[in-house]
Amino acid sequence: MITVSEASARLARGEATSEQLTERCLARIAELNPQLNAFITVTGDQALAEARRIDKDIAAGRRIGPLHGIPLSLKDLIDQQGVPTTAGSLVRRDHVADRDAVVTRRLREAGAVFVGKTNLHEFAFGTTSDDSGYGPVRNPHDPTRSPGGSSGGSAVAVATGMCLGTVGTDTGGSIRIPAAACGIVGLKPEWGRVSASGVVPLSRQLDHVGPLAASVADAWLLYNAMQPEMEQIGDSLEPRAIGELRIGVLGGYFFERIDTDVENAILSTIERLRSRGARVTDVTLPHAADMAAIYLHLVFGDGAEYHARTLDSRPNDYTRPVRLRFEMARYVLAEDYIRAVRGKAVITAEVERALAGVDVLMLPSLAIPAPPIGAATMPVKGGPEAVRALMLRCTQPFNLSGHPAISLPCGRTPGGLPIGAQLVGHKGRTPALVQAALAVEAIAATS
Amino acid sequence: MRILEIGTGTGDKTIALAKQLRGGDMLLTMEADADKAAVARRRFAAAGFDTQVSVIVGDPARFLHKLRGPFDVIVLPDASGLRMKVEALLAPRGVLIRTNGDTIVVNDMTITEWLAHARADAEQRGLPELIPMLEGLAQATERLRAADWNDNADASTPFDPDDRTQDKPRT
Repeated sequence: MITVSEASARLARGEATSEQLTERCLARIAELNPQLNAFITVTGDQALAEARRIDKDIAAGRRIGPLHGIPLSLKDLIDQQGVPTTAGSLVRRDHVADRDAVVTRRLREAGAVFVGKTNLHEFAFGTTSDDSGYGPVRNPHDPTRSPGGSSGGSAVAVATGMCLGTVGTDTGGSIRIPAAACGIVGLKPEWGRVSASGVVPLSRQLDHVGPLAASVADAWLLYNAMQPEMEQIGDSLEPRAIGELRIGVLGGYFFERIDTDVENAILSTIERLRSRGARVTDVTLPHAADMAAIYLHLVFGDGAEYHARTLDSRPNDYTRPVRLRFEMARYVLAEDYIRAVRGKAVITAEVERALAGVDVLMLPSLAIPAPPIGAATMPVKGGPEAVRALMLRCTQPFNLSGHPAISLPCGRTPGGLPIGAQLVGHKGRTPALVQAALAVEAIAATS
Repeated sequence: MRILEIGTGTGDKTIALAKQLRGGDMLLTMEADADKAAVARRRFAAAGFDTQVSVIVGDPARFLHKLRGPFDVIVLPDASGLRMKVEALLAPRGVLIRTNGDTIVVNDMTITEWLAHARADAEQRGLPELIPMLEGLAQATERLRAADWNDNADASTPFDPDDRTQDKPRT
């Protein structure tokens, strides 16, 4: 993986052109996409034309910033003008976006080149990226396994160099889960920080738009460019000194049903941080065990509303499993939905309390390594557990609470599958979270 | 269609039901009081329903298990205390009508009731795969309903400790 930061430096020094970078990504797509199925649409000709135009601008001294000429991709539920937004579903196969999503426009204004639209779990309603109207996405570390999801194609594209960075969405973990499963970085911003206009919704109150990238520094570069201009801070941040870092380890529920390799990797990273001077305390979310029920009712209510018409008018254009889950969603009662709305406030207050007195919370991003495609259960501490429940259990609290959270690589299992560690920051202090992540990244990578 | 009525009385409700029967339908009605059953039987014969309506004399609490289900519709006095036993005789898509005198009792919105409706609906819509999935949803819903943040209309008035508009109490 070449990082955005490296590519950007080479572009600035005239050692590479945007056309070369773009050609290299397109060559990787041509080579690997037939097997990994990371892209639904590849906009190669458009991307090359754009790259050549940018190269002229850069050669003429009009370089506008670190993303100028950098090949990126978009999860295929984010609008790019003139290109289909399928949301991974045949329900939208005839759709062509009439304008850019806000996030697309901001990245375009920052000089990005878009190489294509990445495959996903249909309508982002799943965590494994196998139920897609365009076929399953495969994990580059083991093509018999899921890359996680729902932004599975996005994570695979970055992990294999089909693009240098990408934009995903995260409703219950859909940026952080595939980032962990594919060994890259995924940042779920604080809720509402990055515009979701022009993005196909799953649950508007839980949907977050954010970057997946090869490094924490790259994720910051992309995130910074996605924000409204007046809120952009700077292209690079200094890592936090580990000796100053106060970490609250979120215990209990989050380490109960977990793969032991994942558990060991996270705990040994925490130990190394402690030995380098980080102040580590234990914290809990008292209602953690209620989260899944809260989350389910909110996503179901919101999803049922958005999909009601097409479930009736073109049911067979959905993949069967996703159609059935949306149909099941239609049985949620209003009173139970409201119980979930109130539960969301309870979880939010508990995350706030857990963060009081620490800089970040730390826990796994994903309780298991990438599961085999189609697996219904996975072995974890305490016996086998449903894959769907395992995939979401570490990430969904921060969709409910809206706090910024980042997944970063934390070593591998003995079988070579990536593991992800998650850091959660205070609202209104995403830069501080990223600074902590920059510090932890170097330590965690050696797990 | 097979219909079961518990508590024939002298047959008022039974006759109303029998008027809706179509050829091939069958209505079985059970009455503990032999005198009332005899009156009902005469009235059914006079109204010409005796081929489709059969009266069983016996206490439902003791003889229900002798009936062979399933029934598509079961009419049951709500106060009978026989609901569980009767539900065992109900067809998968069957309907249980609970009565209180002449009125039909509104079903309570328990999870069991909700799940039964949802299952029947899924089956009717040709989505039988939903039936086992709905059980998972029902478990999650049960969890939400038991959560300690729920209030009750007859308990303490909701009071938000984080209410930022409240003044500090004077001590």
